[in-house]
Amino acid sequence: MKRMSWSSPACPVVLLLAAVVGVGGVACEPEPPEPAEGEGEGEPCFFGDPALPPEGELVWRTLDGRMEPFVEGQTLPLILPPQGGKVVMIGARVRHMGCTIALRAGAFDDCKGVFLGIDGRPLQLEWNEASGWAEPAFPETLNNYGNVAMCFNNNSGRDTNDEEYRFEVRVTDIDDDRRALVLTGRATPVCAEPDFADDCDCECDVQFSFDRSCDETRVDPDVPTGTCLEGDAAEGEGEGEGEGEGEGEGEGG
Amino acid sequence: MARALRSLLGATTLSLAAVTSSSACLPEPAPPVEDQIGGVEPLTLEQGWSLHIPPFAVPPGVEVQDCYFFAFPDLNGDGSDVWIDRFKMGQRTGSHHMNVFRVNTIVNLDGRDGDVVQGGECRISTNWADWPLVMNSQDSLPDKPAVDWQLPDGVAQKFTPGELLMVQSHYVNADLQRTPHGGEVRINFYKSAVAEPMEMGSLFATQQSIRICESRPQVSFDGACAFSSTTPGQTFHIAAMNGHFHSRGTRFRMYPWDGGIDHPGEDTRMYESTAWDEPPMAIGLNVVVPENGGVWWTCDYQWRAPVGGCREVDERDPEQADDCCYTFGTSAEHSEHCNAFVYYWPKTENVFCN
Repeated sequence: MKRMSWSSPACPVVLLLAAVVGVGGVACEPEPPEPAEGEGEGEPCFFGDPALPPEGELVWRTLDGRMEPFVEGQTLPLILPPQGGKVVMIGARVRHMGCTIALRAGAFDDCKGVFLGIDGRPLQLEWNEASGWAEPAFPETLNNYGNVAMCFNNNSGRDTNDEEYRFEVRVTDIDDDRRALVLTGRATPVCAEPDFADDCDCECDVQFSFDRSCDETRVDPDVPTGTCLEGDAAEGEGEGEGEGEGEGEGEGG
Repeated sequence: MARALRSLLGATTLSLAAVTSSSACLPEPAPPVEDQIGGVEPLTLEQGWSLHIPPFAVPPGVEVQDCYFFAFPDLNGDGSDVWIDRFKMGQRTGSHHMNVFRVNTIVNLDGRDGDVVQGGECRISTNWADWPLVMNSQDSLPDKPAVDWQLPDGVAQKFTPGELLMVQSHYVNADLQRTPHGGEVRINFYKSAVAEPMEMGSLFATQQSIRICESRPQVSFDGACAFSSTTPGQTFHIAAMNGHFHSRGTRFRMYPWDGGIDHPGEDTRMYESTAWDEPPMAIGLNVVVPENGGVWWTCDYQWRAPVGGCREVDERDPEQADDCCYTFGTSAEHSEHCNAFVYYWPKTENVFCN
C-alpha cells in the first residue's frame, strides 16, 4: 500500500499531550511537508511523514454515533454496550503513524490510584481530509473506540458517574511499535441514555451491590462529589498521577 | 421454548432420559470404548451427585448448543446446604465447550428441573449475563475424557437443595471440529468432608467488541477484571482458569494484573493456551491477586479464510465492512470468542470486568 497524502492539519483545541518514545509532545504545528510519493507495493500503510514524531488527540463517540474531538473537562456519555454494564467510548485520531494502531484505554481512579478497567484493541484508521487526522474507519461503531467500562465498578473509591476521572489512551503503531503516544484527558461520565437512566445511576453508585436493591444502594446525597470513601483514599503513588498527563510514558522504546 | 425431559432420579444418580427431539437421538454408530467417558463413576448420595446428559446426535455440518436445567438434589436429606470440593467432568469427543451456571435473572432463557432448551435462546449470551459460573470444561479428547478437579484444601462451592443449575453443552461437527460419535456429558459433584470450608468464587469474562478481518489478519484484544474487598488486607487467590476462543485464536494468555495500563510482562504469565479446540484447564494454582488489581487477559488471532467463503461471516458483521471480519458470536465456524474463566477464593461480589 502507498502512503496516504496529507491534508492541512487543523489546529485542534488542544487536548493533550502526546508522548512519544524520546520525542516531544503534540502542539499546533505548521503544516507538515508532503510525504514522498511512489513507494512500492508492500510498504506499510502510513498517514503523514515518517520523519516526524507521531501526533494524536483523544476523540469520543456521541450517543448518536458521531465521533467528536475531546475537550478537557467535558462529560462523556455512559452507554449500555452488548456486553452489559455501562461504558464510555473514547479513542484517538493520529497522524505520522501507520494505518492500524493498537489502542489501550482506561479510566484512572485518583482515590485508589489504579485503573478501573482496561480495554485493548486494534483500530483501522482512514485519512480525513477535512480534519487533517487519520480517524477510526467506522466512527459510529462501538469497537472503533476503547470500551472503557465504568459501571458497575466495585473497585472505585467513589461513584463512576457524575465524578471526574482521568482517561488515558495509549496508541501504538502496529507496524512500528516505536511509534507510540499516550493521550490523557479528564472528563465526567454521565448517564445519558434515557431508557437506562435509572439503572445507570444505580449501577454507577459507589455502593452498588447485587445483594441490595437500588433504593438501598444510593447514598449520593450524603457523599459530596469528589469525595473518596473513607479508607479508600489513595496514598503515595496514586496521588498526583491525575495531573501527570503522561509525559514520557510512551511505549515501545 | 423449553422442552421437558423425563427426569429419572435413581437412588444415587440423577439422569436425564433421551428426549424425543431429533438432535437427541442416539447416534450411530455407537462410540468405541475409549470415547465412552470412562472414569466418571456413578456416585452414591453420601458421595455426591452424578449428573448425566445422555447421548445425543450431532449430525455432520451441525453445531448443537443446548441448555439443560437441573435442580441441585438434597444430598444431606435435610434441606441443608451442600459443600462440593471436587468435580469430575467428562464429555465425548467433539465438545466445543460445556459450562455450568447457577440460574439467576431470567431474560429470555428459562427452564425447570429436567427441561432442555435446544439452540435458540440458548445461543444468546445476554440471557445468562449475570448467572454465576459453577465450572466449565473444554476437554473432550478420547484418551483424556474426564477432568478431575480437586479444589484447594479447605475451599469448596456451596449449593442449596433445589437451586437451579443450567448446563450448556456445545458440540461442533463441521469443518473445523469433528464429533464422530455424538455428544454426551457426565459431571460428578463430590461432597466435601470439611466442616466449614471457604467458598470459591468464579468469573466468566467476555471481550465482545472483537473483529478479526482479512485486511489486518493478526490482531490482539485485551481485557481486565478487578477484584476489590471491603475487608482490609483481604487477599484473593486464583485456583484454576482456562480461556476460550475459536479457530482463528492462536494464543490465549492470562496474567495477574496490578491495576496499571501497561501490558503485564510475560514473566508474570499464569496461563497460556495455543489449542483453540482443546484449551488446557489450569488447576492446582495458588496465584495471589495483586492488591487493587485482578486478572488481565489477552487474545491473539490470525485471520483465516472461512471454509466455504466469506458470505456467512460478512452477514454477521454489524459494520458490514465487507472485509470478511469475524465478530463475537457462538458459531465456532463463523464467529469468534475471547472468554476467560477464572476460579478463585474467597468468593466476593466485588469483581468487575471490563
